[in-house]
Amino acid sequence: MGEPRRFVVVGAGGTGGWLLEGLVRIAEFKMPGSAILIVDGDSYEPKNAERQSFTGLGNKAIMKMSELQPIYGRTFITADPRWIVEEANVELDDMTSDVVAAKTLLQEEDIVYAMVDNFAARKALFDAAREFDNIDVFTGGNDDQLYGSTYHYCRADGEDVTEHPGEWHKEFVTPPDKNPGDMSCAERARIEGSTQVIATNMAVAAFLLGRTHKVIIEGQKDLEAEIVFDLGEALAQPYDRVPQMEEELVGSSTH
Amino acid sequence: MQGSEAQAATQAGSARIKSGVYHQTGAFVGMTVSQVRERFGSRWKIADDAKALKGKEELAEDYVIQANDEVTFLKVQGEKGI
Repeated sequence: MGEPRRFVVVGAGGTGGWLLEGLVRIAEFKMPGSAILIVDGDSYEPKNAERQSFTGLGNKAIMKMSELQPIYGRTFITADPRWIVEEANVELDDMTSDVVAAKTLLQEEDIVYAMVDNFAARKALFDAAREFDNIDVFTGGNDDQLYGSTYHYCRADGEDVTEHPGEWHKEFVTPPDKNPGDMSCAERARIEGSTQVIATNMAVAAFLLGRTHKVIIEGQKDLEAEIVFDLGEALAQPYDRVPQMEEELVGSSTH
Repeated sequence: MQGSEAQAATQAGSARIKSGVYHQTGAFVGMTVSQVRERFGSRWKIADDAKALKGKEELAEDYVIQANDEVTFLKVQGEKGI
């Protein structure tokens, strides 16, 4: 049995919902005594039914906690119904606010899943992770129809084991979109429906659970932190995301 | 690629090209980035806005691929992607 850990799943919708189905079982049977914190400021609506599974209407984090906790008694499942943002002058336990800063929410040794559908919220989580000595942050998404991708940012003993995704994807440095947590209620209500495909969302969850199994449960070191896949072509390709040592960079510049 | 052209390219060395789920090591030496994009863009789904990188160095479209180069076409992820 593995040691208990705290998992933080931000986003319990199209990809996060499926991830949670697998993650809670990993926690319950492989790492008993673990905690899962589900974070989501959004509510489940009937229009989500095509890709998401909920037993009732309401805040997604609270609904998912209510569904899973009665079944998985060795896992401590809690919910935070707030939106993750980059900056907020809000205390961790201030539930009168509808937002909470990522750096306020996260803790050392957390295993975080950024299952949100915008780069602004992803940036908030990955940038906050930089401040911790030991933390893992996973993310993934349905990019286009049957094409998707996942990324794992790992820090250990104060160093990057795999690179922050902003080193490769500028969308994590200057997000092209807006975080729903930074929007007004009226703006959030106007967000258009997604073009995601359920098969791809489930595949994202599966790839993340697979990597969780490999590096967290089995403790294997794997620097190929980015995976892209195309279900239509039945292909997947990992990408090496190991930090370059400073001396390597200096050496390369002389060529 | 014609036979004599392929033979000449092979003698010049090989390079590796990656784009999304596709990758190939072959006789790309001497081709420019734009030529690779034109020849393989459709088959490998190289997005129009995908950058050509060698490591983290962004390559110009007229960069001539060298032996042992690994060139990756990295697309800007859609809002639902990573």
